[in-house]
Amino acid sequence: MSRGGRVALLAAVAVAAALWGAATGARAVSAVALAIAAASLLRRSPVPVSTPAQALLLLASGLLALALTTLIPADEALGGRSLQRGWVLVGGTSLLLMAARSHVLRPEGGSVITLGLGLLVFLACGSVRSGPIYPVLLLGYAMLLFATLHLEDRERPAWRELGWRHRGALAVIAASAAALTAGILLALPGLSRRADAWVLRWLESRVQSGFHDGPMMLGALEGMLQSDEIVLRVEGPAGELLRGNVYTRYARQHWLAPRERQETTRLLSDPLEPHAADVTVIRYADDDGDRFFLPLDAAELQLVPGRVRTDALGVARALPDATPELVRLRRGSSRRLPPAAPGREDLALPEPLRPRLEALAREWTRAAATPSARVDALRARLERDYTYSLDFERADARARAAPDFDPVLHFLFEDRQGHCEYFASAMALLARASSVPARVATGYRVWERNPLGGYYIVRQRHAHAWVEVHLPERGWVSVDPSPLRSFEQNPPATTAFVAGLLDWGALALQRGGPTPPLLALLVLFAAIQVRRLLRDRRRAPSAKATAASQPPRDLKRLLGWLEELGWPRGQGESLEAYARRLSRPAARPEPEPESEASGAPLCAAESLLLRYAALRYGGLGSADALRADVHAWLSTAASPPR
Amino acid sequence: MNRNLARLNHVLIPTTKLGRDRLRERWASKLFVTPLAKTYFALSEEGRVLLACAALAGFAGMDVERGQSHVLWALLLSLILASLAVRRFFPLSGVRIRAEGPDRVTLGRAARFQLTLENRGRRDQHGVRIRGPFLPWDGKWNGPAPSIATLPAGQRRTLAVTARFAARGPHHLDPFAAAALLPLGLAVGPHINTTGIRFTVVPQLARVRHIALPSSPRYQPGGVALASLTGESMELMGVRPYRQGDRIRDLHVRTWARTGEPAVREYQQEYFSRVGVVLDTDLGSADEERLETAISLVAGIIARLSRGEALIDLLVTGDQLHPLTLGRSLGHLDQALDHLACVAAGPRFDTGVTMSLLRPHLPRLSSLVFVAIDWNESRRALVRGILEGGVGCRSLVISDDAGSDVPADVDALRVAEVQDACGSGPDLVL
Repeated sequence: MSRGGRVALLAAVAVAAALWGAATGARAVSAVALAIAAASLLRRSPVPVSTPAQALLLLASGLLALALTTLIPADEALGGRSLQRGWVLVGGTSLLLMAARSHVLRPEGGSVITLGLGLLVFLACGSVRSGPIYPVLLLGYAMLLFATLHLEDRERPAWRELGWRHRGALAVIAASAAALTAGILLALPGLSRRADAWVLRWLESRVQSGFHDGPMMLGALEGMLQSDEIVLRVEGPAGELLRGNVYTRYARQHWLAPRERQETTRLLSDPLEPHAADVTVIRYADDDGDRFFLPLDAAELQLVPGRVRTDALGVARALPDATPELVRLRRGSSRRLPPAAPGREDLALPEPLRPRLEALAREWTRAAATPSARVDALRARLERDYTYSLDFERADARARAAPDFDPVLHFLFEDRQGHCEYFASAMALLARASSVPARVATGYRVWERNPLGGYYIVRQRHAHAWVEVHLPERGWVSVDPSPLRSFEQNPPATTAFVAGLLDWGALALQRGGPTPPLLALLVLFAAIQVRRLLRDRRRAPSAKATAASQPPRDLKRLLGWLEELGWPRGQGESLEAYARRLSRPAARPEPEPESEASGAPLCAAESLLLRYAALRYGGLGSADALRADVHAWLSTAASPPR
Repeated sequence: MNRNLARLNHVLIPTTKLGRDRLRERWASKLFVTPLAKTYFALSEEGRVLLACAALAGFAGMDVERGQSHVLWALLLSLILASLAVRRFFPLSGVRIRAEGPDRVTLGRAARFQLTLENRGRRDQHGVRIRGPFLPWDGKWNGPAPSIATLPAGQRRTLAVTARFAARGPHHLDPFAAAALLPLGLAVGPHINTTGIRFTVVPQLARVRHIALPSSPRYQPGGVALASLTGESMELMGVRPYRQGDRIRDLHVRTWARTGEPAVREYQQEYFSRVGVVLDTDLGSADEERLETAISLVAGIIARLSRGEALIDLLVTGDQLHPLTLGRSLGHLDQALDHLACVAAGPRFDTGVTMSLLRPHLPRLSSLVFVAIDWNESRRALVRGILEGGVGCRSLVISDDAGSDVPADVDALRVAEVQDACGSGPDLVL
């Protein structure tokens, strides 16, 4: 590399090191890199280094970068935003390796790789916002990059040798690139926001999720994404909410099950008339879960399988290796699975949240005297002042990582928008702050009715969270604090006709035996098939279609016979050309008395081939007659040679 | 065992030019691969590195609210797009390019291709970059692609590029291409191309200094006359007095004039030793390196024999029979090398099949060299059959480095030994 090229490379290293120091605060790495690169100018010429040694150089650079960035802490430059550790390693290694390669004669990949390492430094530093220093240094680095490449490459002509065409083109490239860069940078934020929104919408329509077991984490994307997968079907008088899980403890962004969760195995098989008008039937379409989704006020229960595990909160699960299939129930005041009486956990509030929650609850329930009135006041306030939304702006990662951050407080005091889990969490905590025992329940909202069959379809996207509060006069009752108007945004509560018809058929199959919808579908299918059959019969089959679909099977034997005789069909030779070749007198073999392969069979074969070609490609003649003639020719006129 | 992982390229890229041309004609290639390939080749090496950086920055800078990597992406992409936009204004007008290469290239040795660029235009061309054709897995260009800083108008420049090829057989390379480098050096102008180059990669020759052939009780009469089937090639033994019935055309007039008695020339037919070579291509449990070694040994044996008094009449590779006539200035070694260049691992060794190939030729042969890559009873049976046919047989077995898989009564050659003879090691004395 020329002296000028080495100086330009040193300048490029200096620019990259300056950005690294500014972006990370780890100025030790920058100083070491700059010192290494500057030392290269002290040498008369670079040193030849073998390929394995260059690989070791890469390793050493990585280790040195790791050591320097770990041992010497960054000084929280640039507003306290420091780089992630991965980017620190990539950037630091690239910077040190770039400096080290300035000593190497003919480094692997050439100078362009050395300068590309500098771009990696910019890439690493670009993972955080560094302000105007970033584009300024980037522009400077780009100019040095092109200067280094030009000076280093001896096979490039000197600038003074280039004519106006090259200089003009350079100006055009620079101006176009500047305009394009400016345009991209202006348009990119808006485009990015649109793309984000589009991707979120796309994800929401495709990712399958819904009710999930385990802790309920606020702010997580799970549970918010929607799926049309059917979970269960409800026939008869249905409650609005089918519970599958109940949470009692709230601890920093999570709702958890009770600490003591004892389960008992019991048989729930009350005698219920299957077709009685007041009996609700729930049929499960999903084979995965173990949970029986039941309304809170189920008074009589007939479960399939009947032997289940139940806990103190009134949640029923199938035994291991079994899945819920069917539930029949009758609703009433005497609950079959009554939730346990309220305990200390049902009034507990996290201490850091208590002051603000109690103050807010006091403010909202100032006019309410009874627990029931307080619950109504809280619910009315949430419905009036808060917005139900699935794509609201969440607090960023830094805010979430703050020690005093709480998503419920964030929802109540700042965002004022969220999905059902936020409403349920806020309602439960505010009710507890108003001395009303409350729990959070999750399950499904019965919402979509199939007009064909008159039953309800519950899908994954109907997964919901609500609150169960304990009122002295009524015991545990379900309260859904999510604004009712939010459900108007969901797909219509009535299943579309075609989807409803198909689902009706599927339900009929699940019930077993031919039922009216299934019979209707079968009749419709049969009618379509009969119509097609009659239509096909009316149409006479064309000769061409017959020939195309049923070529004479014996033709292959005919061709094989001709091939064995010494007259094979050429590759890509058409049947007509092949027949013409057979018809040439010169082509025919001399008739031999003892040989069966005389000229007469060849003439016949030629005629058969021409007839087949006319039938196959022109639709002329009869396929049956041709097939018979070929068969007759093979069996009588010429016996195939052995 | 050597594994050439570069062969995995076969999954996507056909080895032959025909296959690659067929791939290019597919609609999916036209839709997806061709635009990508055109963009790739429109960029210089520097442009490709910067494009890779731009792609990285694009992925890393997706969240434009959070960082500034998108600035890097925007700048690099703009520079590349602007360079691509003006590339059509930099054609190599008036420049002709021609490529010449050898007809045969030895496996693993550097093959030299000569490129001639002639500027017949009125304008000097600057920064001309040459691009060699794509080599899927079986070859590798040596060193960086050549370039020319300035090609003055009316002048011609000759460049040379070398490549090494790692697979035997016929090769048909795509054209070499030349293009002018644009300002900033991120892209090149429209390419001009040479024609494709065809050549055959032949196996390496193991240097054989001597090979002892088993003596045979019969020599074959006919000599060159029967060997080449053209002209007469009797050797003059001397002159003798004329006897009744001698051909008039054999009269030797000078002797007659000197002695006064008619004398005729007496000839004797030449006798040749005719040799066949059999190469076993059944790999069995052996690796391909052993087959390559055996092929190199066969090539070396044929080269040695073709320089001596013997004629090589037959070459059997696996279940393929190639009648030849090499030696004594008949035929050329290249004939045999071309056959050996196309040898692949063959079917399972079958004594019956090989004997059926050899049997019609045994009466004409004096001796036979059998090069095997494994040794078992069926191969021993073949040797027995050849000996029973009255032809001497020399068996050579290529063994692994340990040499433990070959019985003691068979001549075994180690892979490394033969490979050394292909390189700078000592010659083989067999």
